[in-house]
Amino acid sequence: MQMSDKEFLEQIEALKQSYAAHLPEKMKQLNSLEKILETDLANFEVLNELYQLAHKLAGSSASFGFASLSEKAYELEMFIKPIVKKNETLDKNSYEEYKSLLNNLKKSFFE
Amino acid sequence: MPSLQKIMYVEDEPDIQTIASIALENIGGFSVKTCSCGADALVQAPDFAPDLILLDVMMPDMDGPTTLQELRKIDSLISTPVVFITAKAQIHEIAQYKSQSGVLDVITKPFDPITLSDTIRTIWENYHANV
Repeated sequence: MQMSDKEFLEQIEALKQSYAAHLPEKMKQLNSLEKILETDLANFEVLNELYQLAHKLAGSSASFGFASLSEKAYELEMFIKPIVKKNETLDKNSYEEYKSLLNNLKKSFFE
Repeated sequence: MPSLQKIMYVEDEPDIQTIASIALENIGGFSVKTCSCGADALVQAPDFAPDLILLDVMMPDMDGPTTLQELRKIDSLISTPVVFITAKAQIHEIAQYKSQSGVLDVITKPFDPITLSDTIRTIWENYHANV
């Protein structure tokens, strides 16, 4: 049975709030991956995990009203994607841009 | 034109699964079955007999294109229309997905849950208008 428009919009709103409530966990995940990469730049598994996380944030957050977060996550995802697809890791040359994109993403959590 | 009632949505992210299925059921009036992975879809699809399958491209273990190959091995699903759902993709990637048999179109994530049903209905109508 279909719900009324009001019930439907209330449910969508509740889902958005629930998604928002879980964002701090995503931020913690980002922080912990960032921390590992700071001391172990050549860690492929962690970079791949960061890529997956950015991909998920890029694909889902705008559907819950977080457009800027989605954009910044997409920028980070697209930066990491070719590195991971070639089974490579971050290096000194790519580190600065990675760091800048990651910082932009973290800032967008508060926009 | 065949009617579009039953949609199977294969998506590994629970958040997206929930918001999409609520929107498809309540705005589109579709009957929706969600699956969390390709293996689950292979088990559920024959009984559910969907009119259309929405298939996320990037999933762990079995990705969307591989899931489609496996679904096509099941007699009753050999020609079930499919729409891929993917993160913003490059034009050549989209062309590659659409070149597979029975793939009507590609929807990019993030999508607006409110307009998702209309998007799917338009894809369905355009496809059947050209068949």
